[in-house]
Amino acid sequence: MLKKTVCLLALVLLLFPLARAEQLTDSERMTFYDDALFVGDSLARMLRNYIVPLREEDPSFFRDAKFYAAYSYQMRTAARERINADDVNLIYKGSPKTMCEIAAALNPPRLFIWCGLNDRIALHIDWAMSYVDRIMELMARYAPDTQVYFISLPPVTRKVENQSHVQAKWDAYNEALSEKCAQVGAVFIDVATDLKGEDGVMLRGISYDGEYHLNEEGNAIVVQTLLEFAQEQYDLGLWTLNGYAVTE
Amino acid sequence: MLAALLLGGCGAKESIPAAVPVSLEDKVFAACKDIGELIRLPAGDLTDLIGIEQEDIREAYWLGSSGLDGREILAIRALDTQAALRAEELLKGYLEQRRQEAKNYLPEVYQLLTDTDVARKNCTLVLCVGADAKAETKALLDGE
Repeated sequence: MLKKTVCLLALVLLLFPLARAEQLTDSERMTFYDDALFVGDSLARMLRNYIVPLREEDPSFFRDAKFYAAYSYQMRTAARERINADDVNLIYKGSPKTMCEIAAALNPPRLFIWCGLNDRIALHIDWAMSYVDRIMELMARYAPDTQVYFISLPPVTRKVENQSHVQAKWDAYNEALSEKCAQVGAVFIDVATDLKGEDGVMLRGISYDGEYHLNEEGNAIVVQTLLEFAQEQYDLGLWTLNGYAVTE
Repeated sequence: MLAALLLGGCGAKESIPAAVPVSLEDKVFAACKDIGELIRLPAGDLTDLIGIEQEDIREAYWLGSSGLDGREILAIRALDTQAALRAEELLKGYLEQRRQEAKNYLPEVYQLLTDTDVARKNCTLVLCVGADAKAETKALLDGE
């Protein structure tokens, strides 16, 4: 009898995730990003520029998500507690602010960080890891209720790869970032895979500048990846509709 | 009446110039070329990014580039003189920030940003970034 009960319980526990794996609609997945804060460099700025006109037509598209991004923003700057006037800083309501200050002011449920290109971060993985540590330490103090997400670097184009042979370093950085996130309580979002072709670099036709940045098609893929990520989080029971993150 | 005419300017105590029938959106489309690819930037960002309070704005129209070419057109009709002066200060800070962003990153954009400035006429402010910024600014302020 006990054996049967244990087996039944094991079966229920095994099947429970499958029972949760309902396919949400895109509109439902989109709510994962309601009131989110996106911070970053030109990649984040161009993602915002992709989202803004779509949100004009449909206010539920990344509803009330805020974007603070500067062209040459660095992860090093994101890891600062105090403004350094020599840095390219984020501007919040007309004043330069650090990322943690903006997070404290907005207290978003989720913070998505997309930067590193301007630090040449893939060539300095050890620096990146220390920035992640610092960011998490700051966020624990400034916005402890905010879940932090780090978005991977996108792949480089074939042109850049032929010139600089950096994709392997980009991939190594993304892997290191993923592992680091798991260690420190952040969440890693892999946008690189969906942006890659079979040759392991950026898909043809989705680059804005032939180098690092994404055009409208590329950003559409990123948005789709973000929606799929929301589905994954839902499937894992880490998020519920009409609510924010389930406690970790 | 003569005194009112002599005062000029704008504001709660001074008379606001006779209603300008043309919307800022119409003026932008008349004055600025090659704006079909620009995106309409949200009015909320005038506050969230630049710091201009919504209550200081009577009307605004804001277009920006979806890419990295720096193109931008912002026209604001402020509520009154004081609001216009506040907004002017904040816009100058915003322009300076854009210059700092672009300086070592996008040299061509940096050049466009250094070749332009925030312009004000009465309660109307304009910031144009682009190859024809001067002409666009003049056209947008005309009649304000």
